[in-house]
Amino acid sequence: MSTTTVAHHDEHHDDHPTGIMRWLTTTNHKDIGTMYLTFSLVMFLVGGSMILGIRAELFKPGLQLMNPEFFNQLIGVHALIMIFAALMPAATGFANWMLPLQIGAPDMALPRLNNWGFWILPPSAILLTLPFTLALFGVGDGALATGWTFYPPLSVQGGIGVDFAIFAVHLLGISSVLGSINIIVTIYNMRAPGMTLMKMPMFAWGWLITAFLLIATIPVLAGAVTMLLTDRHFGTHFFDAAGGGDPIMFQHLFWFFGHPEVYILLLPVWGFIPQILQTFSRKPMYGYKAQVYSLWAIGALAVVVWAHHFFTAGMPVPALLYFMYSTMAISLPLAVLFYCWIRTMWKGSMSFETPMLFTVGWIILFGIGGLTGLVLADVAADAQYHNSYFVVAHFHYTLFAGGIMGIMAGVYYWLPKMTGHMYNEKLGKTHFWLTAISFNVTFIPQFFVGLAGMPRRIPDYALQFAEFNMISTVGAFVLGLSQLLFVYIIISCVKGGKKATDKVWEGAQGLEWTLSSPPPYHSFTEQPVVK
Amino acid sequence: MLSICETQCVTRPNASASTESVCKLLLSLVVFSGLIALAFLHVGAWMVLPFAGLELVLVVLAFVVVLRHSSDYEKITFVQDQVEIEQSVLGEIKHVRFQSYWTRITLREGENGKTSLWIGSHHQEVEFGRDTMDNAQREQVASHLKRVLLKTK
Repeated sequence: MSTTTVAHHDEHHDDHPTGIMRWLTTTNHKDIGTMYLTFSLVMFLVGGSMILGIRAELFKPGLQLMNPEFFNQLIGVHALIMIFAALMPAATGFANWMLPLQIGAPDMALPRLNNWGFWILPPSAILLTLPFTLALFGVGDGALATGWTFYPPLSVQGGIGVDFAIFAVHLLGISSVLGSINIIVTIYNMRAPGMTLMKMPMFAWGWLITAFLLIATIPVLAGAVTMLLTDRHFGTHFFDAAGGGDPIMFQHLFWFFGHPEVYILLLPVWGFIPQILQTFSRKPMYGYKAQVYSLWAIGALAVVVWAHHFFTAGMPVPALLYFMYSTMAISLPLAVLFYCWIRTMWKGSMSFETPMLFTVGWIILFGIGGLTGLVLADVAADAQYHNSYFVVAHFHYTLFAGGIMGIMAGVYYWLPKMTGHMYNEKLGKTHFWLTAISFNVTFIPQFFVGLAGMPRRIPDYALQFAEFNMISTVGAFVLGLSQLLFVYIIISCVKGGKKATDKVWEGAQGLEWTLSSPPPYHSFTEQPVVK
Repeated sequence: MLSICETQCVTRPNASASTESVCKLLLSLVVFSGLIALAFLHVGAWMVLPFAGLELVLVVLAFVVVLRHSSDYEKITFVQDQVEIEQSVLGEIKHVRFQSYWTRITLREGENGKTSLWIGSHHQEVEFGRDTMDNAQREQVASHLKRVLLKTK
């Protein structure tokens, strides 16, 4: 793809409101993207602090710091925050910042909707965490203690924390749907002349498929939690076996949303990872079409494999076999993606700046997440591994390594473009090594304790698991503390530093690199034409 | 989207999607989400259906809002000693002509920092590029028009 554009970005063109009103009322895609990314970082620290509390409790067998109810509440809210308030907003932040720049659009198609989509998020985060504060004043018994899955009958019997979480999920869902609609309309209708669908950057493809998945699955989650709410307060029996309902139906509903949600978190990352690889390998992306078709295949398979999350709940054998084989089938397009990522690097003139370090680390660690997922997809093996720490380790390899470390790669890749300053490369590399090593120290032991039979979501455990849990807790604290370095790097980069060039990286390709660093408030003052 | 040549300026919103492709997209979304909602309705989870319906209405509305204006355009053409302004909004085309010699180009700044570009003569003014250009583009068009008008005088 080659592009022509005329740069014309004088500072005096950047008229825009200032002060708090700029952020409250802004319809500018870059402002909204910045707000999403900031919100995500704050919630990442909030969710991370919660899990450090949990790991501190698990440092030794026995109950040291908290009662089991509070332990369960921390686990549930940690997951909801990390998924809905940290990872998803981070991907949406990148979409807001980069999609218009990458496809040559002046802004998102529906800017006001964009603003509303963001401002729904903070109230929903407050709703999620407020029950903790209310409990301190004797109101209610804390946040939801069901884990992020809301499984009945526990959730039907739970305290007000469940209601708060249901309303928070509704708001988060509305925000996601508004964002998805905006992204679909923007990608369909706002592309620059010459930017055909098959010339779009991979990030745009990743987000387009993500948006379709959200549109397809959010109503199912919304329906499920509303039915839960009516079971709790309005005398319905959707999930109450005593009233003729079916608690397993909730699991079907939840995971019909929940499994695609994994891909909703990962597809945007799979979109920009190839772009980072081609930049630092200094050669064109390998297998563009193969990657696009693989993303579509994964998106399609994502909505037909949900029941592998509850094989042990009991299902007819044909259903077990279907869900096992369909789940394993996802590994085929994923293998194509891995092949393309590695071939992009093959014989490239590679350099290892921080974004590339995170990307290469990401490929290896996410690969471990994928392979351990294959083991869990096996019905017979899953009977052993289900509800164990093996599952916890597996999904952290996919969602922390595959999601958050991918997001970190994106942050380092685009931060100079966004701020106009280079971050401190030495600190960036230190952050990578601290994160990668402490992540493995945290989660490799969890594979072992899981295989040995330690169940998840328990505050106390048998003595035989003590050493591995101790190692895991030490790793978690190093991992948590090393993220403070990440925050420091970002803040110092925003405040100043060496001036970034417009192209930032030698091998960077795409329309966003034709703009100044930072880009002007109004992105394309002259229409770029893609040849 | 703005294109400028010596005797003509045309501005229109970005519109890369054809109505046909959007219809196909919406149809596939309605079928896909509808089937999911109906399948859950079949097993008793009827509450998925209203949420799916509401969401699809929102998607359709979003495209309607955007596509309604996708064929809009604004055009300024210099024909001999005349400046012709043609504005098409929702299929309705409006023509205004000014004598080049008397035509004045005015760039005004609003309270919110947004500028507006006015072309007028003898107490009649037409705003150009209100929704299709940003401040920088309005400034660019204004200086281009002034330059061309100066040549005609």
